[in-house]
Amino acid sequence: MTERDADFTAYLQARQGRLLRTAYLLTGDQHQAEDLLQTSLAKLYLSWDKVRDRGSVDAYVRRIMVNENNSLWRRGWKRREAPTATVPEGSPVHDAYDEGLGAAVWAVVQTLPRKARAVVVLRYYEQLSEADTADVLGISVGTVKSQTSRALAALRERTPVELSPTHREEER
Amino acid sequence: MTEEIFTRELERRAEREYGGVHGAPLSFEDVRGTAQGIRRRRRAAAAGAVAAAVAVAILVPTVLTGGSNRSQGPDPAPAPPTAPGASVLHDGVVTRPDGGTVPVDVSNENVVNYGVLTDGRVVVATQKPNAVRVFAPDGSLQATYPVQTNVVTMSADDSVAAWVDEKYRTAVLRSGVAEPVTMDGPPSPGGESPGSIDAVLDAEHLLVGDFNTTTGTVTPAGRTDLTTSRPLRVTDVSPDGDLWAVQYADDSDPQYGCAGLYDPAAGELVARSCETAGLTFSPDGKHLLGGFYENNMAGEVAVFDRSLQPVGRFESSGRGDVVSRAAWADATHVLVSGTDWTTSTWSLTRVGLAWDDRQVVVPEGPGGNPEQVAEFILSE
Repeated sequence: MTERDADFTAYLQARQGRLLRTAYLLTGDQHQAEDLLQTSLAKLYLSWDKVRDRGSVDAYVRRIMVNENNSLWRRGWKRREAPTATVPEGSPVHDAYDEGLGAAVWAVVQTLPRKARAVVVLRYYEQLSEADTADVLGISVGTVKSQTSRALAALRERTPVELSPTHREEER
Repeated sequence: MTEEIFTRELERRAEREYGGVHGAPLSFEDVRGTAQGIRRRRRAAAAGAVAAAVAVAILVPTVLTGGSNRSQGPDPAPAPPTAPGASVLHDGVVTRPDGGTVPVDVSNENVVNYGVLTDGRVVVATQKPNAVRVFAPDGSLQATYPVQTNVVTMSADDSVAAWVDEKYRTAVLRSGVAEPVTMDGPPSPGGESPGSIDAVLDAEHLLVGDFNTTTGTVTPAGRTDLTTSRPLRVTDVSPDGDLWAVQYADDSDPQYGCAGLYDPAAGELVARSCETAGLTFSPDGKHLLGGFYENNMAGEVAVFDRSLQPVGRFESSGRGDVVSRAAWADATHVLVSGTDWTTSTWSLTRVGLAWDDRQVVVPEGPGGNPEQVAEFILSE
């Protein structure tokens, strides 16, 4: 294995788990997430020489994922790449809390437009700053602010009042 | 309700689905195999584009001359173009109008604009780094020049490329000359803004300004003020240099202003239209191409005659079909990179002056979000 491929493999092993989760949050579907991740990592591999020296590999692959996800969604998703040898372990955990607030949050995220959803995932899951989120998505910081504001407003509107943290505090 | 809820619940949702996945399902071989497939498709697409471009290049001269029978008839053949048509940058390959290709190590999302010198070198303005890069005809990187303004301005005949270098000077790179020479820079309002190079008349005469108004001329002797009948910005110069395509402020369109043709010798506007913007001359100078670009796309692009009367026009149906880029392929054809922003599908076509006679150069295929990237970038 060349030094280049060894570098890439090390990145793959270190970051793939996290990127898969991000892909899932972007797509809302396990199969689409795996497909998205595989395509995005393949494109990263093709650009590895250019990207690895910049110290911004994560930002680059996030951008690929978001753009690729928009493309997949827009042209109607179908499974295009060869399936992987190993299927990710699904380990659903029943959590009563998930049926309430967690479900409400997920419902809001799933109904957001693709771009707004990417903003929310990058800001709140990847914990990127507004500026970094704007950079990855190629949009202005003002757009990031407005998208997050709308998403939060949607969450407030759709969350049953008895599940809101304020209400819970009052009950105690 | 706080932002922390989003953070916490997204983390929980991701863990719920992939809690047991830390390394990952994909091996290096999986990724490399997919990458090889992508590379094959890219090569096939590039080869298709080149073949189509070559086919069109062969087809068009035949059509223009009308074949051997036509050449013996009474009608004179159309005058040959006096300036080259646009090249196409797609997926790391520049395809010239003659079908020749130059591989360049840049991604479209990082390219501001570029030009192809007549000696075959490709001059690319990039965002990261903020620079002008010069590639040799074989695609090898010859030089990277730090800049104040990452925009390249080409002369009409593509013999000269110019930009504002890191010391606020005008850098001029001539075809066949290895290194750029420098002259006084454009005016620098407040000593901070680098100013703009609006047009290159030739290697020793450039029109410069402040991005809003063309205010001066730069020559090796220095910069001199330019006086015009009204404040205007030059967007292009006719191949013979006799007319300037301009944009100027006008109450009838406060956002874009109006477009016009300015006769610098007479010092007057000889034609005007508030129905378009950013006019560029055809290679023979007989027609102009303009359009309103917003959000990296145009819903309306049109060809005009020298009275600025429309000859042909593209108008979006309003269902997502837009133009990403349009440029002159030759004196009688426009190269159009079209996209559908609802599906992110892309194509490259050639149309005639009346926006008719549509020829597919690259068939429709998937690509990036047109708000963020142009899959086909046409040369200056």
